Amino acid sequence: MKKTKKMLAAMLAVSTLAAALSGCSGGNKTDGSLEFTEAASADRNNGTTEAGASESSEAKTDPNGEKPSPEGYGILREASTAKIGSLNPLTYTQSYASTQIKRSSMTLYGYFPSADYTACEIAGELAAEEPIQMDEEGKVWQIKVREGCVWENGDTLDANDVYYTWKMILDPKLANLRASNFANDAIEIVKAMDYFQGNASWDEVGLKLIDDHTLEIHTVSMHNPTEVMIHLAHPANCMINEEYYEKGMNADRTETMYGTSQEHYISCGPFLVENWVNDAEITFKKNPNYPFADRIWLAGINIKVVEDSSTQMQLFENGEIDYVQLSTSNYLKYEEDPRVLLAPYNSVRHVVVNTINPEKPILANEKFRQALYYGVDRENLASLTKQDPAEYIVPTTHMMDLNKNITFRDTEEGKANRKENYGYDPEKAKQLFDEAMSEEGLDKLTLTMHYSDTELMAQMSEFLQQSWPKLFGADRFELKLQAMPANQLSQVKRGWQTNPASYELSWGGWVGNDLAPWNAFKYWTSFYSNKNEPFINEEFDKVFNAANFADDRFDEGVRLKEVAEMERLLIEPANVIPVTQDIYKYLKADRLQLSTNGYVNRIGFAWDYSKIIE
Amino acid sequence: MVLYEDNKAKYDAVSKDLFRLVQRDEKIHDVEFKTKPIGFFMDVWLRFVKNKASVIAAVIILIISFFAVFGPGMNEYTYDEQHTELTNMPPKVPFIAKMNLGFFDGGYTMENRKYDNLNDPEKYPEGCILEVINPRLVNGERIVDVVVDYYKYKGLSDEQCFWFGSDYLGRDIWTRMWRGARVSLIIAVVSVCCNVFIGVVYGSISGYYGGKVDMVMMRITEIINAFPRIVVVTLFIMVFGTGMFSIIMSLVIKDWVSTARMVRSQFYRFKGREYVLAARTLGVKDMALIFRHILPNSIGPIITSSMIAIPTAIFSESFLAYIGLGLQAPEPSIGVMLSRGQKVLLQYPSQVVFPAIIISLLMISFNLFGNGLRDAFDPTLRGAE
Repeated sequence: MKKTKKMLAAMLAVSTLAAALSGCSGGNKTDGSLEFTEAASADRNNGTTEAGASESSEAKTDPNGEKPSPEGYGILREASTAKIGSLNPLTYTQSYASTQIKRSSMTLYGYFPSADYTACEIAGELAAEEPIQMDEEGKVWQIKVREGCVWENGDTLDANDVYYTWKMILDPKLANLRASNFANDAIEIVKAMDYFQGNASWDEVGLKLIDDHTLEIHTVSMHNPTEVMIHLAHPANCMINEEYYEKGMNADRTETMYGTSQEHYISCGPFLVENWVNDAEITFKKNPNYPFADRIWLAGINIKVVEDSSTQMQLFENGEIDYVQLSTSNYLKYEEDPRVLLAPYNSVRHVVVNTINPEKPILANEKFRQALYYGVDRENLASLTKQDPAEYIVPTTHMMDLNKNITFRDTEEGKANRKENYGYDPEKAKQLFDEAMSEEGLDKLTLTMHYSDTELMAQMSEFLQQSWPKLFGADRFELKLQAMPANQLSQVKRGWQTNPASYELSWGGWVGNDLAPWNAFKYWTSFYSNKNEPFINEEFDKVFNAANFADDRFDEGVRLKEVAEMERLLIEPANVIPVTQDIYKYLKADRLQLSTNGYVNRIGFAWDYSKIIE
Repeated sequence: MVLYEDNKAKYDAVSKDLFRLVQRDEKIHDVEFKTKPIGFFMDVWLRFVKNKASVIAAVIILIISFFAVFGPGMNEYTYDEQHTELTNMPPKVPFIAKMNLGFFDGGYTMENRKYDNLNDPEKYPEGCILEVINPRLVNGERIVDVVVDYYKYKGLSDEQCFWFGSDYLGRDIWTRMWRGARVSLIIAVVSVCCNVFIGVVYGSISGYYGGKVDMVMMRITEIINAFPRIVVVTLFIMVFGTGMFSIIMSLVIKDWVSTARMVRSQFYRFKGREYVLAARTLGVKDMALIFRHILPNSIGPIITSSMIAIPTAIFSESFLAYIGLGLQAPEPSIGVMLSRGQKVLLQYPSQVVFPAIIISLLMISFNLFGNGLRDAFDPTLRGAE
């Protein structure tokens, strides 16, 4: 009996192992004809419906009706690896938080899907119309605030709220993280930065309240209405409520509890916060008083914080969430599934080079950096990581003209900066490497690359660790890898300002304003304080200033040439080495119907405008 | 005497002829042992081999150690050789594949594939499809799961194979796993040796001198023991970066304390014995007393605790690797492989199953081996069986 039990246990163990090692499982052979049914699909991928009942393939009528009702229909269920932290638009740090802030608050201007959902438009949200130019130079702008807007509690929302928000953004005592961006980004507001730094009074700042529905902005340089709108559409400029903001303020007026919990927050955006358990779950319901409520089909949105992506995948497969972001390994599983959605990410992942490292002077050698640039087999790497190869630095998402839906990469200037074979030229790379080594008098070189210890970065770093020595000669070049947590890596990279030997090579990827690629280059200007690499180039600064502030920048083609020139100045001497552009992959449930027909620049898949059709 | 006095008459009456003197002409000595004499270690060995579980554990450790040394050289791949076109290959061993057992045959289920593509020879080379299962309609598209011979699907010949499959960069898991086992064993053995060395010296001095010396030294160990391990590891990694040195140091910095305490307690037990007093009276110096006369008594507990410390060190290394504080890439360790493998557990189970089996075997074996040694070295068990 004992022996039989042991035998059974052994057989069980072997069969379990065999099942793990074998791809085979029971099922139909190919020889017979296969029967394809919708039911199989629904059971497997759609899971249970919200009411808990599974629906068959009987004819469905759209429960949403012909127009969105004031209360909407259906709850969009999301899962997020990120936590919201704070809904205070003036202090948030995570871009994920900004998405939720935008859902529950309003900005003067916002990005909306066009009527046919094929493009993105910038238009007034709280503002009634485009900014009105008040002087000939284009430095004074009036903004009319929409009438009839209200907060969640029914209080009026007008120009006074906007004015209070502006004052709080720049408040010197609160020292908000977003103040400098508001003072000077797409436009520079007169004396705003001086007020924030305590060098000017509020009256001197170029922000004026004209009446309950009119505001005025004075800028340092000449601008056009689009630039003013882009500046004011940033989520950091979302409205805050004076009553709640003051209620949460401490005695010194240096901090406020606003946005830290449901008790200290009030909504006014397309959705209202209905229930919020910090770091765990948030539920929004449709705001019937939102000016564009007639475009919102959903009754609400529920977001659960699920940090593990495998658990998110299981939730999706069980029908408990409506879409999920796919990891590379999960994407391979669903590669051919028609429900997969692909979205290019608004950033190019690149190798950053510390050119002033005194211990590795070869990093300052242009030929050496170019050798690294031409030595990256981007196509091969991208096929491994399921990204797009990128030998450019301006992502494909960056628009030159929002109204015409033209991206920089679509233009002739953008195309001229592209290189054959995605910039991979092994012969040229080897030649440049040999020349650089001989110029520096080196026989062997060992470099260290720091990377954040994520699955993707490890894969990309290990790829370069193998491919560069293979190309340049393992006896001549060695790449060591050093993994570390992302926060620490960020400090190491920015540490070059105090310790020039803080790193040699690492990874970077800036998310710039995709509607203003000329402005997205600010990360490489000499006056940007949080730079990853010591790239300081007077010519680059000059072109940047011209593209952003010169009077002739609106002339036909001028700005386009300047953007192309800035990209060339970065890439030609390989001051940064672009490698890939991420592609985000999603899997969407059948009960969720998108309004867009695929990815749309800036607004993505416009989840908030989708319908629940079960 | 009382007995004689009381019975004097009776005893005096006994004839003296009844008595004779014995051994007056013989030498008196012990009877010679019929068996060979057994030394301490032979005694330990004899009792150790009686414990079957420990012997099996020792054999498993030897086998794993053998593969850790020679395994990485058993096929044509190196541990860091990438085959970017052959990533995530399933396990295949040619002679097992020919037996059609259903495993180690390179079979893999590709899920959610378009049925209409199955006849495209560019996507599915001839003969690679073994089975088509789970037909269904998804958004009007005919979708199936396809069981394929993944090696044929990738256009490889029958000879080319990865015995345990390949990872996310197309590196051979067999080679990496045995190299990882080697690295794990090296880390464990080196850290345990360092712990034993420091612990023995520290514990000996503390236990031998006692008094204030002991009090101060033991308080220092308590302070060291109070540091959370994760903090120590993080500090080492921040200063020295990730790598074998940081991991070994983080294991050494705290773990010698238990050895020191154990040795100290042994010294307290033996330092008052007569033979030690005798040696001291004869003028033997302190160091000779410590290391020659007292320490050998602790050899059993030291070996036992070292053996039990090895799996703890392997586990700690794996844990550190698992939470991303492991070795520098591309160097593998069992922990690094488990950490990467668990992320694709559902898609490519073989990437986690093999390292998991090896670490489980190592942990169980070292524990059983350590238990066996403890029983064998325990003097109270001598002759008990």
